[in-house]
Amino acid sequence: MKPGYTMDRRETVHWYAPLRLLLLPAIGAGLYVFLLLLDAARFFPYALTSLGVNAIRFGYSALVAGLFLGVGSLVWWYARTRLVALLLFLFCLAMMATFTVQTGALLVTDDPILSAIGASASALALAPFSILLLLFPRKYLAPLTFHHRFNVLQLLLRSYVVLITSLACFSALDAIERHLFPTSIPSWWTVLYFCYYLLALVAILMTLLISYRAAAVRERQQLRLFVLGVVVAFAPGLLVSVIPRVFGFLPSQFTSDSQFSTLTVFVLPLSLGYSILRYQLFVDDASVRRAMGWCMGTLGLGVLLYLLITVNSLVTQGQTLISTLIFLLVGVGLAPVVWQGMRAATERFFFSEMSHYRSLIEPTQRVRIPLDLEEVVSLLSIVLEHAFETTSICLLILDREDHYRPIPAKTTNSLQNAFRRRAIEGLSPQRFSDVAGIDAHTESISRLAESSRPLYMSELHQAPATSASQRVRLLMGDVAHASPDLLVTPVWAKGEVVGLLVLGERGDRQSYAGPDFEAINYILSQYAADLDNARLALDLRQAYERQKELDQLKDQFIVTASHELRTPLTAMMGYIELLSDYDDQLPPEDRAGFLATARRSCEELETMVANIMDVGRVEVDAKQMKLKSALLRERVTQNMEIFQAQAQQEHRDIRLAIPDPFWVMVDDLRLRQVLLNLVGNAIKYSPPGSPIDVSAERLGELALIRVRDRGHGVPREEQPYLFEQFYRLERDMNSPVRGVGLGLSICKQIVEAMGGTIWVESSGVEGEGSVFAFTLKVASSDTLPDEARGNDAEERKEDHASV
Amino acid sequence: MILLIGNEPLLSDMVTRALQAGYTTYETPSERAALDWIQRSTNSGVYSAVIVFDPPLYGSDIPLFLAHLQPLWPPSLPLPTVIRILADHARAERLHWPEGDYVLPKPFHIRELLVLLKESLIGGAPPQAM
Repeated sequence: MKPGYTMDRRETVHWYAPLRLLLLPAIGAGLYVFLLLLDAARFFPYALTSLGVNAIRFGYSALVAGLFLGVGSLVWWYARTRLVALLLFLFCLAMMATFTVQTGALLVTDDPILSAIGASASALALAPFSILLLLFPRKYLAPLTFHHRFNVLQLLLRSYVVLITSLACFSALDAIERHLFPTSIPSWWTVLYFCYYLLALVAILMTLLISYRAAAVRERQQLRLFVLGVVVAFAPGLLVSVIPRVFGFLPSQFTSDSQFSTLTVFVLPLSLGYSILRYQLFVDDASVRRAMGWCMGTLGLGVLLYLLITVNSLVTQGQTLISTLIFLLVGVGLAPVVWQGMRAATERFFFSEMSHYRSLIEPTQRVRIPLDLEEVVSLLSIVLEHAFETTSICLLILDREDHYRPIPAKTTNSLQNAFRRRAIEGLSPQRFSDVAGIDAHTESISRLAESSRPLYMSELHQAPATSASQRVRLLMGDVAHASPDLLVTPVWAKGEVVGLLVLGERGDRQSYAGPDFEAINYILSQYAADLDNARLALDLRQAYERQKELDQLKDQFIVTASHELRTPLTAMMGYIELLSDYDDQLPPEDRAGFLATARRSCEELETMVANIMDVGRVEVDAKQMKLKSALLRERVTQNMEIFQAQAQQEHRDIRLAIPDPFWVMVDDLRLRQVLLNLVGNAIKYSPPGSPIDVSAERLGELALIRVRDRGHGVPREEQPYLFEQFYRLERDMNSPVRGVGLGLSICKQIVEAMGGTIWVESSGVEGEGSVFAFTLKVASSDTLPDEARGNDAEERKEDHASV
Repeated sequence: MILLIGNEPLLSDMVTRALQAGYTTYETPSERAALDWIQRSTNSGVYSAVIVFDPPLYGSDIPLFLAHLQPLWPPSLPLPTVIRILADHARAERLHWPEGDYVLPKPFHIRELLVLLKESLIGGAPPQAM
C-alpha cells in the first residue's frame, strides 16, 4: 500500500502533494534572499557613517518585503479560487521586490541596478492588483464560454486585461531602460508610462466603487478591508510628509521624513492578505479585530501628537513653556477621545458585519409574546437567510427521546425537502426514509459538541483528529480546496446541545470561515433561549397529550376489562345456579353441557386475569429471566394438550411440524404463556373446523416458530399496533370473542426477553388467516445436557449445510 | 314473548335456558336484527312483552334503537319494557340510555332477572338502577 492519508471519504492525498503548492513560494523566497543580499551588498558600503539608523531602515524594508512575500504565499496556499491566489501572489512578489531593494534604490544615489529593479517591480505590481479586483471579491470576469464571447462587457474587460498587462510589461521595460540606458528613451515612452499608471489607478478606483455599491455584506466587508489597508498604509505619509510638502503650507522643518511617515506601509500586505484569508481560515478573528483597533488607535494618537507639536510650534514658535503645557494638557484630554474614536471607527467602518447581523436580529427580538417552536425556527431561518444569503437551512431540535428531528416536521417546498434530506443523510449513516430522528449519542454529534467551532459535514465523519493529522490538514488547506460542503453548528442552551443547525452553500458561493462562525454563534446565542423554551413547551404539551392518551387507554381498559370479566362470570354463575336450582329436572346431557360451559368460562377468566396480573410483572421478570436449553417439540406438544378438548369439540386439527431433536433456549413457564396466547388466539379468531398449524424451522442460530390460523386475518393498517398494550382490533370490539388487548403485548415482552422477535404476517383477507411468528435462540452445544451433545453436533453439521 | 338482544352466545344461552321455565324467548344478535324481527312479528300479531338487552361493548346506539322501535309498535299498545344488562353503571351514561329503565348489572343471579321480569310484566313502576 502506498504511503498516504485519507483526507475525506473519497480522496486519498499523497505525501508529496504539498510540494506542488510549495514551488511558487520557494521561488519567491529565493528571489527575496537574492535581492536582499544584492541590496545589502550595494547599500551598506555607502551607509557606514550612521550604520545604526541605516541598518534599521534596511531591516524595516526587509520586514515589509518579507510580509508581502509571506502574505502572498499564504494566500497562494489557502485561497480557494486559484486565479485570485495567483494574481495576489504575483502582486505580493512584485511588492516584495520593490521593498527589498528600496533602501539601496532610495539612499544610494545613482545605483542603476537597484533602481531599475525597484521601478520595474512596482510598475509590474499594479497590473495584477487591478486585474485581481475584477475577480475578487466580486467576479466580473466570467469564464470564457461561447455565450460570453459575444458579451460586450466581457469583451471590454478582457481587452482591459490585455491592455493593462501589455502596459505593465512596457512600463517595466521602460523603468529598466530609464535607469540602465537613460539616453536612449524616446519622449512618447514617458507618455505611455504615465498612461499606464493613470489607467490602472482609475480602473482600481472605479472597480472598488462599483463593487461596493453592488456588493453583498461580505464583499463590502472585504472591500472595506482593502481600503483600510491603503488608508492606514499611506495616510500618515500623505498627512505628515507629502501634503505639507507639496502644498507648502508648512515650513520644511515641520514636515516629517517620508522614511518614517511610511512606517505604516506594512499594514497594506496584512490587510490585503487578511481580507482574503479571513474567509478561508477557520479561526475566530475577534482578536485580529481587536489588534486592528489598537493599531488604528495608536495611529490616531501618533497623528494627534504630530498635529499638536506642529500647531504648538507654529503658534508659539516653541518659546513659551506655559503654552507648551497647555497643548500638552489638550493632548492628554484628547488622547482618550481619539483612542476610543479610532477604535470605534475601525469597528464601525471596517468590521460592520456584526452590527449588520444585530440589525437583522433586533426586529425579531422585539417580539415579546411566547412563540411556539416552529415560529422561533421560522424567525431564525429568516435571519440566517439574510445573513448568509442562502435558503438551504435545516434546523433539528432535540426531543424527549434524545433524537434530533427537523422542525417543522414537514415542508411542502421541494427544494427545502431535498436540502433537508441531504442534511439528515449527511448527519446520519442511515437512509433518510429510515430515519425517525438523529440519535443524540452518535459519535459525529459528540465530535460536534466537543468542537470549538462549527464543523463542515465532511469533518464530522473524518477520523478523530490527532495533532499530526491536524497539522497535515492545516498545511494542505483541504477544506479550502474541497467542493462546497454543508456547515453544521450545535445550538447550545443551558450547557446542552438542544439543536443542530445545518447551512448550505452561501449565496455568494464563498466558503464559511472564521467571521461566519462568530456570526452564527452570535445569532444562535440570541435565539437559543427562545428555542429551548419553545422546545420544552412542546415537550410538555406532547407529554400532556401522551398522558391524556394513556388516561383514555386506561379508561378504555377498565371498561373493556370490566365487560370482558363480568360476562363469563355471569354465564358461569348462571349455569351453576341452573344446576343447583333445577338439578333434578335437567337431563344428564344438559347437566354435562352446563358444567363444560362453566368450566370454559372459568378458563377464559383465568387467562384474562393472568394477563392482567402479568402486564406489569413480565417487564420485571424479563430482566431476570433465566434461559435453559429445552426440546422445542416436547414443550409445544405438552402445552397443546390444554387445547385438546376444545379442538375435539370444534372439530379442529392442531398440526405440529417441529423437527426433533431441536434444542432452543427458553424459560419454560414463559414459553408456555406465549404458546397458550398465540394458539388460544388462533382458536378464538378462526372458525370451528379450520386447522391450526404450529411449525418450527431453523434459521442459522435462530429457531423460527409459526402459528397459523385460517381466520379473519389482521387488517394491514392495524398490524403495527397489534402488539401494543390494550390494543384490540376495531373488528373485535363488538365480537363475542373475549380479550382485553394484553396477550400479544405480553408475548412480545417475553419473546424479546428471550432474545427473539415476534411479528404478524397477514394479508388481511378473510379466510386467508394470519401467521404469528416468533424467534428463539438455538441452544449452543455447551448448554445442552450431556446426552444430547453428540446428537446436536451431527444436527448442526447438517443444518449448516442446508442453510 | 321475551326478545333477547345480545351477541354473547354464552350469556344468551344461559338466559334462554333460565327463562325456558315460563317464558318464550327469541334471540337476536343485534339491534338491527331485533328491529327486523319486531317488524315481522308485529305484522303477524306477535308482540314481545319485555326486551332483555345485553348491548355490545362498543357501537350500540340505544336512543336510535328506541326511536326506530316506536313507529314499528302499534300505538294502542304500550312499548315493551327494556331490561338492560350492563357490566358497569358508567356505561349507562356513555350509551345515553333513557333514565328510569330497568338495569341489571353483571354478574347477576338468575333470580334477580326473574324478579325483574315479573315486576316489568306486572307493570309496576320501574325500579331504580340496581
